Amino acid sequence: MTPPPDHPLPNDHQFEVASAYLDGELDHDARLAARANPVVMGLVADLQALQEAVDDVPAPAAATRARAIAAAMAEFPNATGAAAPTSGGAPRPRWVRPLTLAAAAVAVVAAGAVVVQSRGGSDGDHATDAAAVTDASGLESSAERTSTSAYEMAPEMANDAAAPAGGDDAGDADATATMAAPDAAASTVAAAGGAPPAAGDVTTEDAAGAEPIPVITDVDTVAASPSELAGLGVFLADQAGAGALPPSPNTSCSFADAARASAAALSDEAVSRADAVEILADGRYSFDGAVRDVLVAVDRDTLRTFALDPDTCVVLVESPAP
Amino acid sequence: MSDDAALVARAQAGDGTAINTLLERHYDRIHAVCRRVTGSAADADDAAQEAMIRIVRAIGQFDGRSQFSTWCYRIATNVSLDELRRRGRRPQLHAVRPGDDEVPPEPVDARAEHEVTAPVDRIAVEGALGGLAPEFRVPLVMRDVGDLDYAEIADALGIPIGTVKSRIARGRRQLVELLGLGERPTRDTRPGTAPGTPP
Repeated sequence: MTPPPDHPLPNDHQFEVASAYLDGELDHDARLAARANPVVMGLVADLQALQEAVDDVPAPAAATRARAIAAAMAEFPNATGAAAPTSGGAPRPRWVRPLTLAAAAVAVVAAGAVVVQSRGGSDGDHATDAAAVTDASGLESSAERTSTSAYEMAPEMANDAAAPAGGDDAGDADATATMAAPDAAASTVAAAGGAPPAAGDVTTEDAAGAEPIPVITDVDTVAASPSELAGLGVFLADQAGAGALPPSPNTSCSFADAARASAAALSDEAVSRADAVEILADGRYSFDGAVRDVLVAVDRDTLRTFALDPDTCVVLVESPAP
Repeated sequence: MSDDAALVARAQAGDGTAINTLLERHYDRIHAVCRRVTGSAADADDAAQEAMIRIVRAIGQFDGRSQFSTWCYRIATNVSLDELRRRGRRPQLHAVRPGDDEVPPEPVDARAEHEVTAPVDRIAVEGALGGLAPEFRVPLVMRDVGDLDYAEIADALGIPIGTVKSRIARGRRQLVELLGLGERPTRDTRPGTAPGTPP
């Protein structure tokens, strides 16, 4: 507080007037009177700076955000008592395993590593049914487990991912959610009560602290980190270049759409080059030991590699560029 | 957030995408409210998650008489206060006064050390907030972090508007004193001190 030299220190009343003025809570006459009082206006200036400091709150970590939302979403069907949505006429996601999708959502949040799936078998029929009958207790336990997960994200990515989603972007939220969880996938997740992985929560690795990119020569190799995912991407790109890869996975996911939905958590390069990224293979990713199916997408120019949730099309993992 | 109401209606009808969008949209401010009320990142993480769960559990009972965000911040505030009560303490932060010769105490939230660009200012403010009694801190946080007006705060806390007004003013005054702002020679030594233009 720095009242002008000719004015006394502010009293409680002046403080209250300045505080209310700052908050826009004075009526017209009181505002005019406040403006005519230099002590009050000096206080207003100081209180405004104080207000800005109070509002300057560190952003939560993206992983924390994802955990909280996943835990809350696990409660959703119980809260509304809504009938479980059905998948309608859309194709069943052939990737879903007999793991409840709520647990799968937790696994996403628990984050960790990627595994490339062995090709062929699809147990999606069982999976869809299993998801539909997931009970509340299972969801509860899934939510509990989120509290102990060890999801990590490079600090700068976490800050990006934690950027507020409101304001002008609010209107885009639905659109991105739709893009991220199309058709059957979104319905199935809702049926299970599990949270689709939040757009913007992507496992990544600080390039500066990244482990070496391993050489991977087997499409079935299990990758256990973003770096291993990068190694897999290198291999897949090489195979694709040689025409040695089987046809691309049968999926409705589009990396470009997924990148837009997860843009806040992806690297700028990933977003700007989203149209160049191809979904090359099916894979599996082990999140803290919980293996789940993913789609492996690769930018064949930069060799940056991504793992996508095949059900929601959300980008789960972004590798460092080799 | 003009379309919150529409999303709430959809969520109440069982639309998971709608509730997910609402949670995504409001989480950061809910966390901020929790952070400022509890004074610790770890407690805020727990409180914000619990608040999100309570929001989902209670979405069916939200009647739309207040803004959805107001309702959320009220829940977040209550959860944060519960968290503090559960731990039997007030926020574990330390006021750092400019000019103190002592080495500043270790902040409870180690993460904050890495997040700040102006450690003294941010930690000092957080510590000073922790020094306020909840009856002053809570309405102040709801105003400055939650951006609620006095009527909304009064509604959320169940106290008269006049009480909100005086508690916020007193809280601010205490903050000024705790931070030693009044001891500074001129306002020009700090950024952002241009006279305010209230809404």
